[in-house]
Amino acid sequence: MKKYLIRTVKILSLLLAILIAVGVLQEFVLAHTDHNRQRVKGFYLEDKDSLDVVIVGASETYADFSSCYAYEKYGITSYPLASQSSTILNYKAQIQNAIKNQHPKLILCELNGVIYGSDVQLDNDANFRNYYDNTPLDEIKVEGINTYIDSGIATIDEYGEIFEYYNPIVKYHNIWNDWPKWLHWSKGTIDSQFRGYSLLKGAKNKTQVFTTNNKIYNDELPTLTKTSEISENCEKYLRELLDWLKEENIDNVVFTRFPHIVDKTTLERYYRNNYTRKILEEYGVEYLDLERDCSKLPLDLQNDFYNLDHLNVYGQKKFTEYLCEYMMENYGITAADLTDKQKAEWDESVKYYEAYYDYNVDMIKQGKNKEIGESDDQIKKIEAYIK
Amino acid sequence: MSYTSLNFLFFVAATMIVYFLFPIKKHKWFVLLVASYVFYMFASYKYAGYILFTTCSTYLIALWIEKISTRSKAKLKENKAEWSRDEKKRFKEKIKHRKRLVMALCLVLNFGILAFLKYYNFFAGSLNDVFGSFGIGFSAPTLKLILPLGISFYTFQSMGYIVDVYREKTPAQRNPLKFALFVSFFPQIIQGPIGIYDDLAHQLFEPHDFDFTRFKHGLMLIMWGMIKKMIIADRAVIAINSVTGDYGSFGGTTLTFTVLLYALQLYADFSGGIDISRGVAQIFGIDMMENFRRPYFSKDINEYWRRWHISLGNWFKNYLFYPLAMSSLFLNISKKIKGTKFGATNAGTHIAKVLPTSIASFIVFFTVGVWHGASWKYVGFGVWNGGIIMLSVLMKPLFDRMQEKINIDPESGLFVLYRILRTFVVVLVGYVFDVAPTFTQAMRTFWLFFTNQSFSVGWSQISELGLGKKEYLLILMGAVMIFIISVIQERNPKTDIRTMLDTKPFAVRWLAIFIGFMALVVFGVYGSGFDAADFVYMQF
Repeated sequence: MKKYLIRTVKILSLLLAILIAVGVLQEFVLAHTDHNRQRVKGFYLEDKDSLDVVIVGASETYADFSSCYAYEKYGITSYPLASQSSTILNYKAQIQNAIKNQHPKLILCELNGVIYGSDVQLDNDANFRNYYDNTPLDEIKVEGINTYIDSGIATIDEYGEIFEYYNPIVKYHNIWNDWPKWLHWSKGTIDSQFRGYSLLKGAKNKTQVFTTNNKIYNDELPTLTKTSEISENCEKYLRELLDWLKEENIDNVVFTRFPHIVDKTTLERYYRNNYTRKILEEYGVEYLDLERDCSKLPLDLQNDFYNLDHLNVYGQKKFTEYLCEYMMENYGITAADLTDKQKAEWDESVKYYEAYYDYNVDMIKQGKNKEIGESDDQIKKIEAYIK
Repeated sequence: MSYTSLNFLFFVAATMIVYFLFPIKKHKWFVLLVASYVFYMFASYKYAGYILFTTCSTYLIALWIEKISTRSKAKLKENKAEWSRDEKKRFKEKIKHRKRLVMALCLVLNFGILAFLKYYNFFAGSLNDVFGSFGIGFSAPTLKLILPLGISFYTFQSMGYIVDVYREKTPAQRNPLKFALFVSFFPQIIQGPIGIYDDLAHQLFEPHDFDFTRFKHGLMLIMWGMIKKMIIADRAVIAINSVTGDYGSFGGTTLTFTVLLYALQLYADFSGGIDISRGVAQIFGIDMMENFRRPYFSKDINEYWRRWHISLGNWFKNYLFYPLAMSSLFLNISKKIKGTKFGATNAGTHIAKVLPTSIASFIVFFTVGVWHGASWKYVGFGVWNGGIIMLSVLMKPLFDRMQEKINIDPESGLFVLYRILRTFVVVLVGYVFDVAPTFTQAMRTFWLFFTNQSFSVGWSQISELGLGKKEYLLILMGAVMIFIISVIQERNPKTDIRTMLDTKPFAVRWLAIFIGFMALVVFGVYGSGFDAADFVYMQF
């Protein structure tokens, strides 16, 4: 009997050691770590119920709006719970996670991930994984993965592939072959975990100024009423999301479209935006369309964008001010009431944001195109700008 | 369901639980039969008719052969006193002939299916080429034929059984379900090893209780097999496929590198797969035969074929080589040579002695080559191996004399090393036929070996084959690890690394398993980032 007991203990200890080792590898070493992972993980580091605004959606959310600046100027606490090229398939989980962890006064849902004309982006596994790989295992994650698999959009052949969604190491274990490519992001993410909060609150920008010789339609957009259909699946999952919000009586979600430059290459997308607006009207849901109304914003189209779809730090600052004032005026958002510890953390973030802003501006002036976020190497460069 | 998939591991675990908890001990084998058919249906349900046909036809014909034997023996006994010696002899001959006809029926039916599926399109294509070159407007149709999973292996195994029943080496199995298990046992169905009925069947049918040591050793063997397959073979195949996918674009250096890499990949893939099969069987208390004995340490090509794919070699030896070499036709060749003037000379005596066996060897290796696939390149592979073996046997006295003249100690380390390297080169030449997409390309490869070697071009081409430096380094480290373990086993063939590990302290043992497992997790080629490569021998 004793022999069997010892053997059982030995086997269990080996299995436990393997489990721990695989867990550590999956979390820190063999994870696909980039700005998406750092941003989503950073969201879970925020103290419960300390955020008044959560912005969900795709890259516009963290390029166009700065949570640090919103706090610095208005005392508003916010966070972009978003990932690059997020599609409508991620939106419900993003809203659910925002509600579950923060109970924010307002959830802004940027609709870029809805206005696709085909399923190409929905079918792209990376767009799904950029978000889901980084959320904790809970009922929201299980529901999101099941929806994705059941949608038939993704081609999933084997149980092994489903297993991968819960155990990303299966997909990313070969990432050692890319080292040191991801190591700075890994280090940045680990630093955030040890620090207990994210320094830049998920912000990431490019140090560019976008210029174009194409005709820009932004001034005429309110008069361009043509519509173009979004893809069948985009519409289906948008309607499901709207039905779900209604069923659950969730009334603090405001759908929005952040500013974009509309030229001939993005005009069709704008028509799809018109189509989406009609769906939202059908549901009686408010739509803060800052693409259509871009000309009303204090933005300089020749200086404030780094590409057609994203603002650079100049635009980000102006847009953050506009949006904060709009939220304060229309949704009663006020400066957050924080504990001393939380204040100290936000103040530290503000310090880094200012340096981040100066670093961005410096790089733009020098004509150096860089992607700046919270990776370990970039943080070191940002620190050089702290006054 | 690949042997390296998660599904397979779950499947083995589920089968294991049901098998060891099955309440009726004497019918435990039935669990293995059900598992084997579930496995087969999962992988190839559309083609299950083929394995069922082989099982039923072989089962019935074996009983038929046995019935002929039993009845004839009874008749002989009955007429023992009445029949003269000649009558008895004639009767025996008649019975033997009848049995042989019945056995031939089984062989023709089953090998016929295999040959048709494998070679029909090849012959139709070749025939069309011939007719075309003579301007004859006949065209044999080509068919969409797909080889059912494991057809070669279960056909060889079943036909070995039928010959054994014919030779009265083994009694015919009366239980059709037990026989079905022998044909379909899931760990070996994909790529062998090809079991011999006498060795394997009783193990399959005996009830086995759970044995922790067997379980542990089985798991370790599976892990080792997976390391070879998933870390080395499946990584190396990425570079090999890049070359074979665009074969004409590469120079001699890259092709030399590819053939070397192929030697490693093939060994890691095939022996890794066999280790997984043997490990799974071991968990169920079944010892399957060893299929590889460090073949690249062979000192001559004969030895190589005794160490590589041993079960196939044994099959050909028992069921093709001996019947050929011992046939009256071949023995007559020997007699005829002995009767000539040349037969009286030393060389003639030697040739008369070894020619039948060397012709039989040539035929065996030609068949092995053709068995690999319906293509002229495999004919080339067979002719090369058969030819080298034939020559080495025929010319042996000459080689021995040369060795004596230059006064070399055959056991000296340097000479042994030379022989090993020489054999390895001969093997690599054979592999060129495997790697090259066609026979003509294989010939071109040999030409490029000698005329198109450029290190700088090779280096730049090799670095564009889909693998980074770190991955090549990993493959190299894997090769070194296999080499070290092989050296340990070669020095003491009875050494079982697992048993050796058992004597080490607990921490060392479990650390080895831990490291092995983690190596698989980190360095294994699996998951949707990769296309899982099928086992090479699965296609044969």
